[in-house]
Amino acid sequence: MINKSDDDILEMFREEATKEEAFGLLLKKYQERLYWQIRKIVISHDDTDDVLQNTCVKIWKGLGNFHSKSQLFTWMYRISTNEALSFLKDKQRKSFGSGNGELEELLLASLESDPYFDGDHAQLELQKAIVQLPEKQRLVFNMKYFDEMKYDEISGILQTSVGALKASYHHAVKKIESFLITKEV
Amino acid sequence: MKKDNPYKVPENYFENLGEQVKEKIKLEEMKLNEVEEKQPLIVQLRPYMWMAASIFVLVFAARIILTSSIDPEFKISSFGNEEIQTIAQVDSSEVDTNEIDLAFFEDLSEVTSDDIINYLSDSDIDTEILLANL
Repeated sequence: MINKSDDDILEMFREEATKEEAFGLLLKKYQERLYWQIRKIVISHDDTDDVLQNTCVKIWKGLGNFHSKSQLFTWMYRISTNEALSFLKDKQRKSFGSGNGELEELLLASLESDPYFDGDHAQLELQKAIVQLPEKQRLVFNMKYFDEMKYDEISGILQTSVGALKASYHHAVKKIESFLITKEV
Repeated sequence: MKKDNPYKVPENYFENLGEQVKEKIKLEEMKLNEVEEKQPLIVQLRPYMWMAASIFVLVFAARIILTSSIDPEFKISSFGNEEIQTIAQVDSSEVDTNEIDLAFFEDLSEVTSDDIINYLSDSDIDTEILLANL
């Protein structure tokens, strides 16, 4: 049952009788990947949970009008990414004035206070280095390095040219290297 | 460098996620239905009726206050027709007018703004004099 194709699921979703079942299948199929996409952006598990649930509601509302110009998965990934980024903007705006307005600081705080972080020292340092990257570079680095996605796929999700993505990834790697080197010295 | 994911997820999180999302969607749809639920016309119009009533009361009150605060001697409505005519006659006799002007004023009701503009442009009035008399 779980291995139904996206097209089958979409067809089921358009029938009122099988709509809920189809959505359940879709969630089962993609929830983990969407979760990790969001988690890498907002860092803390609790925030990820909020964003993921909102994302799912948006997918539920929009799926009926989805016409496969792009892949279903790309479309859902894009919603997750946008939801996560706007969540961060909102969080940043709310904390403005409390002396914690820098996004980097917010993310570091999330990283350090997250009970669901279970890495060793080196992994923590790497995550700290990633957190201080500019938004686009951070997204590209996570998708390329951890999720091992192809540039074509990332390009569809972030709607950025492959060339620009390669440049962003290159800059990100350089920055992380120099961050880690200064830490070691 | 290890590529392991250092982030963890609470136990059974993904197993329960589907249910939580379903709950949330139901909640959202209930909210939507509440907003969309049709209310009787009278209930929908109630705020506008209150608005209309208060405007009416305000205008009425303003009218009463304004009328009572004006000295009756100076109210136009307190002049009789004859009195107005006398005043008008006195005024016109004081002014040095010729017949053309009188005819002009008599037909004033038929004068359109185009006529006025034409008259002004045809009669070549010195704008400086006009401005000085403003």
